[in-house]
Amino acid sequence: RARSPAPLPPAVGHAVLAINGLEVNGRFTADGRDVLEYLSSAANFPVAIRFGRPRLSSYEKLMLASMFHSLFAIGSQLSPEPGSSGIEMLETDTFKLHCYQTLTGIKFVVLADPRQAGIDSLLRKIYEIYSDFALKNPFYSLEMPIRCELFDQHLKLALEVAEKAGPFGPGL
Amino acid sequence: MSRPANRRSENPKIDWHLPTISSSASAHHMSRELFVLTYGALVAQLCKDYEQDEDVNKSLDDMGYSIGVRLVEDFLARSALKKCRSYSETADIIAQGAFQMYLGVTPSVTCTNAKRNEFSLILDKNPLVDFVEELPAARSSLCYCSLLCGAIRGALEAVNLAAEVTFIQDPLKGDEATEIGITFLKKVEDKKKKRNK
Repeated sequence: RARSPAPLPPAVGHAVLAINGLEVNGRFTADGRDVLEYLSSAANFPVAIRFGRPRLSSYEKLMLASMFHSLFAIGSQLSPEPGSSGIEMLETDTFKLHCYQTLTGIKFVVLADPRQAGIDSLLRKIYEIYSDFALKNPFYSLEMPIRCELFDQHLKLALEVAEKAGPFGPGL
Repeated sequence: MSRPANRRSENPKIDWHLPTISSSASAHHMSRELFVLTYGALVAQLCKDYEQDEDVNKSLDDMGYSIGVRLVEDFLARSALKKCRSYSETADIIAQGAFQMYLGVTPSVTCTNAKRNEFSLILDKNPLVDFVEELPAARSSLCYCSLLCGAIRGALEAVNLAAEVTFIQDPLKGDEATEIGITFLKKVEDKKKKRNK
């Protein structure tokens, strides 16, 4: 997932993501303090507030993913060329959605900046990370959300490599 | 069954350097002896747990199935394989790709019927029975390598190919070589893979 810097002043639909580096969830900071109280206390000045599109909840992600799953299937059936795959890339002005479907039916979806290159190799790398740290974890059950620390760590590393490489792609 | 990576031991290691599509993909290192011994311990424990040979066989087969379903992803992630266009191509990939990658041996493949959906994988030397000469007298119908059959069956099912996998020849039962028979059954689902895992 690519994060673009928040525009100033905050745009419609944006919410507070962090204050002074502390993550914010709704009205409360990550360590349980009320946001408005924090902002009104002079001891915390100067405040650096980060605005942005609010993160999707798990439920929203599930819903959007299942919608995409249907669109993916429809795409391959609507295609005039026989034997087409499903949607591999969806391009808009502000982002590109890349999808890689494995031979076993699993789809990896990456949302990135339109100028970001190297997403194909990133998708393959994510497949490897999934097979190493999710599937080989004996406590992970198939088709459940992945809550494996090692998976998160390695995924974060791979994303950092891809992001740093920017429009030229990672040197993987 | 866990496969420890990067385990140091005095035993000769087999470096199964996997075909990679990304240069950062890791190579699996494992001591073959450790794996074979672990497998033997697993079978021995199951024999203690179950009286009937059929139960042990079924248990091994189920375990193999769970392994196969996950292992196939590792195999596909590390090799740049495209979808196979025929059953014989699939059988070849299993023998030359998967067996080579995970057990370090390559069985030979023959097609055993005219419809081209039954295949035999023949191994002169089965690494799993390196330390076993013959089955104990009380366990004559034990299928020692059932796990392999289950794994192949699980892996094929994960890519939407229904198959029956059995042992046709077993050196522990007096045969010369190890022969695994794979029979591809008619696909139940549509050819397009739409399963969201």
